Amino acid sequence: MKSEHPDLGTDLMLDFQAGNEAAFDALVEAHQNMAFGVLRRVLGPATVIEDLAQEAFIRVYRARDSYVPKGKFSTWFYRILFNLGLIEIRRNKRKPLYSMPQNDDGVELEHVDDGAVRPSQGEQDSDWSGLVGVALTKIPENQRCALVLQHYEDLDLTEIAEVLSISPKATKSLLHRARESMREILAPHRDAEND
Amino acid sequence: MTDWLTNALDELPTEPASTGFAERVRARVERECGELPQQKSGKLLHGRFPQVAAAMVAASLLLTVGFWVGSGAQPIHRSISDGALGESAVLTLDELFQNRAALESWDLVLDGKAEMGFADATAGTYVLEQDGGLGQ
Repeated sequence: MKSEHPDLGTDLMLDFQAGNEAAFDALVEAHQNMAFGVLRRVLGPATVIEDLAQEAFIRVYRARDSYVPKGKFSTWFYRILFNLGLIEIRRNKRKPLYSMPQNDDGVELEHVDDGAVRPSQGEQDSDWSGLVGVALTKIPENQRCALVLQHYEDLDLTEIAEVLSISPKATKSLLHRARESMREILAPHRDAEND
Repeated sequence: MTDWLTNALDELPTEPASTGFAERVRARVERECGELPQQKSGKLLHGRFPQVAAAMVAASLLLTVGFWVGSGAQPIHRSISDGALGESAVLTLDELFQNRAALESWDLVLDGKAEMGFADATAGTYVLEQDGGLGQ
């Protein structure tokens, strides 16, 4: 049976479905870092992600009877992670007291210049990990998800499209806009570094 | 050629799972969904049996009391078929038939082609006035 599914996650899930509880533990061991990595990048540095990561695996456990191996286990698991991430983002979203000028993708342009990641803050100029982490939280959620899946999870266009339930063409466009948004936000820091 | 944005994105490190995460997931699984669904549903039914039985007994009692209370009441149809109301209903029907006969006779009287009028008020006789006066 295992030879029919070259995906480790699918094999473990099917073993678990067949009644092997240890397969679920192995599934958690194999995918826990992925869960933390994806949730952290999608939700940003300020969010506590332990509970969300646990919830993702609880959902996997509860889906034992209904799971059908249509594709890779990881694709299905990414979808669970992103659904949880989006729920968390919407829960934490606060309405701004005033509206800032935005570009076509809804990125607040002036907010980027005047916000917490201002390049004039000397000690942050060289901390690109912090800058990128904050910049990711400033681009629209769908762009962020697509960029995280492509750059950090090495998924191709078709796989990203499957996770986000959109067409590969729309995914390509989304990724282009995500990169443009990130460039727009991070360019001042790069310029400041080059000066 | 790698652009500066790709290099910048690479600077964001991977966050590993916290220590003991897998154990905490296992503990939560045992706490929240430790049993197989079929075992759970069986136990659920078993655990709720006293409640279901109590609800059924209460419903039966309510039904029995309802019948008992309801049996002392007069059926609605009885008030029409017998008793004082029945008689009055028959009387009313007779009166209606009489009134109907009277109304029909008045219809005839009011018909323009067969209108009756007194020919001689003192004699008390009357003739039918048809086509300018018939049989005086």
